[in-house]
Amino acid sequence: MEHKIKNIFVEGAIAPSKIAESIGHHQSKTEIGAHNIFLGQVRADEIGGKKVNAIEYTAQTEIANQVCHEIREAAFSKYDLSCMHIYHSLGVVKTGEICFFVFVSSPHRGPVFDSLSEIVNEIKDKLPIFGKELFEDQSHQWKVNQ
Amino acid sequence: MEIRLRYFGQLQEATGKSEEVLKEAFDTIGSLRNFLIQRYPQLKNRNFKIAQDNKIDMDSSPLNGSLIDLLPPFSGG
Repeated sequence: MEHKIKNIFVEGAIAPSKIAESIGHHQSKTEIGAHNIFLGQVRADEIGGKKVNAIEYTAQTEIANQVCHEIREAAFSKYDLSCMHIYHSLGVVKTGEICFFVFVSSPHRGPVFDSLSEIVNEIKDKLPIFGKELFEDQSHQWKVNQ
Repeated sequence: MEIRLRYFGQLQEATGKSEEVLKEAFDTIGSLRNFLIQRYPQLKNRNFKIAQDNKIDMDSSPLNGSLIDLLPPFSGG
């Protein structure tokens, strides 16, 4: 099955209500028997005595969407997945808010357990997205992924 | 041929620019990288990838794109 390139980016935080709605949209897809969801939340790290207030995300969106498309297609060909939804924030996301949402569904639990961590890790490794950690005192540092 | 260069994330701070146009010609991505490091010494010890026309490319590849993006380490999620 061929899929078209989707825009994964949304401005600002991903609202919990959007995640709930997204789950609800699958009630009509009755071949699905298992969902798995990853949610990335902005953490209030303390660095050198200063606390992170928010992360501001920027990205080279064309490359990010293209690479994400390739990751998505590879996952569909490797695992028995019914559908997959991926969203990432741009702009400022405050601590405690959701910045990254990956949702996979399949007839059975095996493929959703196996595929989700791989998809999340690949997205973090390969998409040109840049996080700027904003501290309470208006200073900042550039986020480094572990 | 002109090339349009865009700097992303921390590279905007390092160079003080978000984009610029270059009129110089470069054989390869790597020769552009060396030119930029000469021009902006603060790029010297930084790790960055270079994309041409929306594809990340190797330093050994010929430079034939017109849109060049300089991408610092990725930190999404």
